Amino acid sequence: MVIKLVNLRTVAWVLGSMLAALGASMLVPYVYSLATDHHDQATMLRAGLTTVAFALLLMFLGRGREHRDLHHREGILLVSLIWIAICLFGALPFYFSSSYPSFTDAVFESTSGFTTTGATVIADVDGLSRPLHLWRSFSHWLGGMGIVLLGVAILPLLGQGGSALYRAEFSGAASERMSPRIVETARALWRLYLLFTLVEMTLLMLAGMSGFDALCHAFSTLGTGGFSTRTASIAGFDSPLIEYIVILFMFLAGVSFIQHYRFWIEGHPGSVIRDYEFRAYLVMTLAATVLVAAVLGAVDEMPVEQTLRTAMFQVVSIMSTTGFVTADYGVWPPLLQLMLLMLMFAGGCTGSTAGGLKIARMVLMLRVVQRDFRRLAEPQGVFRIRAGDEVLPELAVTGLLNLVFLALMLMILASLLIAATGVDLVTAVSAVIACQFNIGPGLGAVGPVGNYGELSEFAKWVLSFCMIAGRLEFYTLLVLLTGFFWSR
Amino acid sequence: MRIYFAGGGRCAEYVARRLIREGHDLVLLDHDAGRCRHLGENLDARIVHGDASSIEDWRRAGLEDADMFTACTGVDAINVMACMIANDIAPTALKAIRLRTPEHRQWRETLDRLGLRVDRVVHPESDMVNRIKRVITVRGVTDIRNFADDRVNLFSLNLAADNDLVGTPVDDFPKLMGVGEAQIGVIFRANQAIIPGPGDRLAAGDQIYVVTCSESLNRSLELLGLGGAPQVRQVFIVGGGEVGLELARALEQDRIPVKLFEQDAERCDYLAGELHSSIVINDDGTSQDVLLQEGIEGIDAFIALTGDEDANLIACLLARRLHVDKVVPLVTSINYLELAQLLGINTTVNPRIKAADALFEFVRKGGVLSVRSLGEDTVEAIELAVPESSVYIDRPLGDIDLPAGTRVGAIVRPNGTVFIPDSSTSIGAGDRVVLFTNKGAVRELERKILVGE
Repeated sequence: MVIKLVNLRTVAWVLGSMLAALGASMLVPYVYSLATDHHDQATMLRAGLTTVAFALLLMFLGRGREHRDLHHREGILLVSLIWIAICLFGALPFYFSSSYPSFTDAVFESTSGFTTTGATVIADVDGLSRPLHLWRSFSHWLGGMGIVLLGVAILPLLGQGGSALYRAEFSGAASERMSPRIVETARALWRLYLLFTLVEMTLLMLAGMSGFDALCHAFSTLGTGGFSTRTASIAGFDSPLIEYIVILFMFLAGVSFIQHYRFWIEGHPGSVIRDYEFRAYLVMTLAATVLVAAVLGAVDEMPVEQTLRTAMFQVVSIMSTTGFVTADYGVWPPLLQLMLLMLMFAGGCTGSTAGGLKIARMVLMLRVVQRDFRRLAEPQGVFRIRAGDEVLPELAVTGLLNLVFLALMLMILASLLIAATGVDLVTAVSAVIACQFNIGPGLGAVGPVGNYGELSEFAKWVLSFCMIAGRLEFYTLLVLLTGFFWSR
Repeated sequence: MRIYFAGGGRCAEYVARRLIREGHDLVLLDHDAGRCRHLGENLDARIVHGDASSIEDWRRAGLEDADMFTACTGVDAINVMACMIANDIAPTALKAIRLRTPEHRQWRETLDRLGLRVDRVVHPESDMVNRIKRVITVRGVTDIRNFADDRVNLFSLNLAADNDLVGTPVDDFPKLMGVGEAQIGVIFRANQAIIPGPGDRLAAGDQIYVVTCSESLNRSLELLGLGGAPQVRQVFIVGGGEVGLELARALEQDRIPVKLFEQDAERCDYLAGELHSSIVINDDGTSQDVLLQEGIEGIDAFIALTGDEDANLIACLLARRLHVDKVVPLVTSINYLELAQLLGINTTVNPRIKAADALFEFVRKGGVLSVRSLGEDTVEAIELAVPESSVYIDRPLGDIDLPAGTRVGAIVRPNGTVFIPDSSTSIGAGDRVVLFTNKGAVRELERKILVGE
């Protein structure tokens, strides 16, 4: 029956081609290791060949001419399957290397990479080989681009509930200027993404980083991932200049790539500045920075510049869901820890590489609440929710609220499961939040100086699921677990 | 003149009646047989039953003889098609088109670019919106109009019994206001329109129309104890049709709080999406309970624009009783205008009269620049450009033998200066004059001023 509902041949074919691309991208660290220190050279080759072999098998199974257009359910299934498969096969380099104790750890690390989360199971990051560093950061970068495309082009096509938000965003007059074809849009966004990466890498090198570190960190920043080549993350470089550069690019990576497109390619700075989501993002970043800096300044004896920089770095890092650290906020006062935990929900802008609930949803939820208050005062009044100039269809408003509810449900359920493995409360809850909103470091044992290595295997699988679910905006993955999806 | 009408709706019928009275030959084409019968029985014109978008039907109606063509069916697309046909069959005829779409300006440009010579686009809704907005935003006046590119204003107010002006001779009014700045053009007394002559005095209960140049408008209003920028705190609009929406939009621009009532839920969704600060209420705005619940007491203006004119009138009376100063109902049938006046509702809007005024301006073309019907169907304020041939040139107004029931309200010199004339002022060639006249005298007046017979 399933076979009739879903064209498995097409699914296998598309999945196979994606895995082939993944296998090919493993050549990047392989070539790097060939050219330099030959560390983990065989590992990368084995992983690449295994992936390509599987890919060819899938493509062989899916061969044939009758590749019809993907239907709705196949689309949803494929998006989820692609992410799952990429996270699994992307784990092979870690698994084949000696640095990761188990397959579970390798999958967790890979999932964390491709979902641009940045949570690691490695206690001694400095000890990893360079090809593995490169693969970790590169997975962020690939995942980030996948997310932008997913958010900008693919989820709107699938019309999933929560992403009606995207559709509202892009059905308006402003989006008509963007190229109507997905391929064209993708190309334009790729170029922009690549350009940002090169610029950040150059700036980091000028600020004193080695070329390799600069490349890895540029990859991690643009994907809003958070894997660093140092155990101490950005703090390990001890350079204010590097911190400022990273702050800037983390912030930029949290801005919608649609807005980047308008600003850099089309030259419409006005439309970006007027964009409600960008404004809210900017205001929220600045306000949170000032608040955090004020509290931090009150409890800590640091120069003002350092206080502000530290506060801003942490705020931007968490709001853009990157997860780089320059300070151990695990030892900050509980008030600040709680504030940072709250910021994890917000995330960046829609259409960026950031995770979280997204600023637009936060703003719109506030408007929905405001509307309910107005309705109490004016029972017969008719009020619509606006996203910018666009009036949100009521269906999209419901979808928005449902998505937030779904995210909270998942958070509660997953927290219970993690807590069942015996970790403390703060660790359990913050680990789930940090994973499902794709931030990386949480609080407690999984805080900025800790890692996820000590968690049980079961917890790591749960958290891996949370990362993919969050990355796919909850609905896409979770719908596969419902009966409706598989029934006629 | 031979004038063709596409569409024989009530607007067309009203315009046609006035045009026939003025001696023109009319042909009306309508698709509805019943309507054609009605027109045939009531109008001294040729009625053709046919489709306004059919080339064949227009040939049958003899369109090639047309001097003038007016497309005023209820459907924009058909009007445009009819104009295209007219452009082809009767290329020399003057053409006017009635459009309902808010995009009428863009359409005008598009038609021009397409080489479709349309001489006049009639869109009464936008004029209505402007007028209602002015009535709302100028304190104390019940009606306000403008002429000569807004250089001359005409506003009306009601004289209460305790008003100082009661008993004042009409001719002394300019002295009170400053000579050359304002005078009284028309008085409505007990529902009769009076073009005041020497010796007339103002009485309690009069509704007077004061004509003034726009520079003196504020001063005049001030002298009468009106005007100033009023703090409009709340306006109710009932009926979320095109006019209601545009009016709410226009008021939003001035940051005036609006509640817009509309009964159709889907339309409400649309309206709420189009409007920003206005509150859309999905309820019957003509019901007393609803209005009280929504806080009608203390609002500044109540505008009823639903498709049901009875409900509009009743709702406005209700609002009046609840101490709303300014009420404006949309009234579609001419018969109701008199009734509204009798009931003390001085300002009404009527798309049909507005469209008719616009069409008249067009039909009378020549030197007639604008026409405004005042009150009910009896008095007009018209704006004319005076040619050199006119018999009235260069003679003091006191010496001119104007047709009975005619008064010169204002004179705009070619250099743009505006005079409110007295008996010693004279008209020069090239002046634009604003006159008040009974409808019966229009032809004579036009002939004398424009043609110079």
